[in-house]
Amino acid sequence: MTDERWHMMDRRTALQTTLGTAALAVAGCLANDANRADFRIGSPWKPNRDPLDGGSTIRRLGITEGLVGVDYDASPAPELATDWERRSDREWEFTLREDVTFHDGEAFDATAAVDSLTRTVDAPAFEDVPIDAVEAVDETTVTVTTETPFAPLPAHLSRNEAVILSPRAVDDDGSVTETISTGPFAVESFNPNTEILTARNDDYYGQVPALESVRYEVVDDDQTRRIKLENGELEMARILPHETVDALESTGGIDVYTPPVPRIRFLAFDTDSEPFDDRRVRQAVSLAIDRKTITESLLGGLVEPAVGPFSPSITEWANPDLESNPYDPDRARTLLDDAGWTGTAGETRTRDGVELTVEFLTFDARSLPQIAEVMQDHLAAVGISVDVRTLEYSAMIDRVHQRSFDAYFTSWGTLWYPDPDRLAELYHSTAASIPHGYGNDHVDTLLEDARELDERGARRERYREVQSIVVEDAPIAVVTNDTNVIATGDDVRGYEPHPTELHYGLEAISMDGE
Amino acid sequence: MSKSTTELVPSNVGLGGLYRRYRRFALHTNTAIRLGGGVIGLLVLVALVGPVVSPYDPTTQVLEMRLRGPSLAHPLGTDALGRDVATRLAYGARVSLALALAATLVRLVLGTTVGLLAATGGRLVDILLMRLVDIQLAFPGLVLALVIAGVLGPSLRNVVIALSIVGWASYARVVRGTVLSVKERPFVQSAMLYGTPWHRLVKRHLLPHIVNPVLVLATLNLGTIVLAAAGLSYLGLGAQPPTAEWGSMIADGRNYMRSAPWLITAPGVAIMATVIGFNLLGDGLRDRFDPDHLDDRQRRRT
Repeated sequence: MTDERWHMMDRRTALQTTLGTAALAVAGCLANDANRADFRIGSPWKPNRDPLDGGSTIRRLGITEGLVGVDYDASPAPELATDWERRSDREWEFTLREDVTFHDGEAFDATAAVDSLTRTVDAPAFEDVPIDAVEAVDETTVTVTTETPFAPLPAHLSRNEAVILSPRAVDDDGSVTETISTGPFAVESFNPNTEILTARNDDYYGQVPALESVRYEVVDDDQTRRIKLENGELEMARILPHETVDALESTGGIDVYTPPVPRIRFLAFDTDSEPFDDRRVRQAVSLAIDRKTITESLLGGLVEPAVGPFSPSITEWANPDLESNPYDPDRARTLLDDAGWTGTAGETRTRDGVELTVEFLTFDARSLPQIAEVMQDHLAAVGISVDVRTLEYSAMIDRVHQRSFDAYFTSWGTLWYPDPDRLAELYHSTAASIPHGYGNDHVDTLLEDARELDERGARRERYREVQSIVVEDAPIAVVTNDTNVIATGDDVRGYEPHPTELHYGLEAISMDGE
Repeated sequence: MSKSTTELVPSNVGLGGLYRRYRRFALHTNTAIRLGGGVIGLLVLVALVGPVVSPYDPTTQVLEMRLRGPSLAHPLGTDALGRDVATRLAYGARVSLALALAATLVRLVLGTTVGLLAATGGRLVDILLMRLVDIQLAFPGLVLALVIAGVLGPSLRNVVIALSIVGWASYARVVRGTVLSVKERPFVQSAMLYGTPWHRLVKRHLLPHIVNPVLVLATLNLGTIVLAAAGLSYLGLGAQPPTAEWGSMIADGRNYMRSAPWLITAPGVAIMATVIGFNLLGDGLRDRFDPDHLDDRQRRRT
């Protein structure tokens, strides 16, 4: 009896031990798997195989490359094309780099480039780019003709959608089966929406990376990314909240980078409906916001206040004469009085018995709701009552495109392609992607002229004039620029943040002590 | 004749009856009622008095004073916009309690009506209504509330609507069950024989019997509603800024979890205390009103 019981116990213990060990072993394998790469990056953005469908991550990781890249002055620069020339108003000739092979061993030549670019040009992403034809002249020359004279063409060819894929990467039906390009890193394994594992491309034509392998991991939650970095499960954590900078800087073993990025937070008004159909009311809102207080307190002094779409510290297209914090609540009050909105101090203004109450839509990212709350406070001080409504991003975009909004507060990358023609998407009466309903013939003419011109000085003059006019007309009120917060382990060497975040510059990164 | 009918009516109807009931109740409280009642009483006190005595405004921003730790001037610290957390907590208590009461009241009225109709109406009415209740109960409540609040758009009013629509079914169940059992008792049968009209039957003979179970259910329910409302606000579907609400206070403080832990601790503890308080109170009331009730553990043992 006792003997048998002893046996029973033993079997159970044995079973438990086996199970426990197995669980540990599985956990160990999983952990090992995750730690295989030399360099691990955590970021909130979900990658996709197809460059036409959110191709920023694969470009940033150095997998894909385009004919044109972007240099550290945020201007178009040679990548797979060594040189280009505007042969006539509508014709461009690109000279391709020689002796380049794709990750699958195929040679990169004009035919491959034309095939890949044709796929891009036909896609919805390039709908608004007036490209007429892409043709191969010889092995290393490609010409692009445009329907209209179009100066921003090289900038558009630097976009993440316009990268060159190997002929074998694309199926007959036009879908991308594997992301095969020419960059310094090649895809090892790809789990869309979760992770990418890449390996060094030893045949790369440029600087061959020191890192052998890189793992990109989607980590949605800010705090989780930070903890993973602190625990040594990541070498680089991207897009951390501004509030964490002080704490991270005082943590040993971590370096923090805070590069300004060409991104603005702005209020877009519906200029077709009351009360923002009146320019004076829009100006009053812009003048009543104390931008400096917002950036100094909420954003920890890491971000510059802004009134124009471009930051002079990033690009020469910016108008340097704009005042960055035109805070003047008294003038705002006068403007509102002039517009017929009157009332006593401390109360919401009225006109013909209607209260000056507006709704700001926003979504929960990049501290937008908090900033909206501060603006709510600032605007209450001049007698404008604001309801802040935080929605899902897609819900907000729906509402906005149905034009049922007073104003919405959002965040927008201003140099998605490195050309000031991007201003047309903000301010042009028909080309704008921001549904503010604003139109100014003079602005339209300036934008259309500048789009055709070749001479940088002449273009710059026009774009700067546009930037001055729209501060007065205020179809949108720019509030701040933005800064990315990126933290790495302190053994990471050679990381230099790119001004338009085109790539992470992984080929220049090395690890100490290896 | 009329004398005997009055005797058949439970004695607890009318003002005098209510008072007698209260006396009896006061003598028979238990620890759970006292403890839960104490917590809830304290909370109500904070909600009523807190905003009056606080020298701060819950929405005024003092950006120079942001993220200060607990001190004498700010016993629970300040938030990212420099607002006093203690003051916001007190205003949040008002919002949470009012919201819980409103939603419970709607649930209670809706559920009781449906339950009464099902129990006293015909067979067909009963089947139709109770299948509706089954469907309602089979659906995960919070998910449905999320969908409703999401469709209606974020606001406190819509949270009340969402939480009212999802929770009434359990009241209907309880009311129907109780009424069905009471309906067979002699005093109701004889009242029916006398041809007492429906509304009078319900008011004098049926409703008094369902007061106790429904009251217990409602008390237990208040806690879950506070929790659900805070959850919806946390997700951004409830209170909109600058309204102070516990759930949105936690959402706002999330990014400062490490540097300013008081921002999420204070509303978190408040929510926890409220839920525990209502649950204790509900449990206690059940023990008091329904002494025959066996909880699951005891039932399994017998």
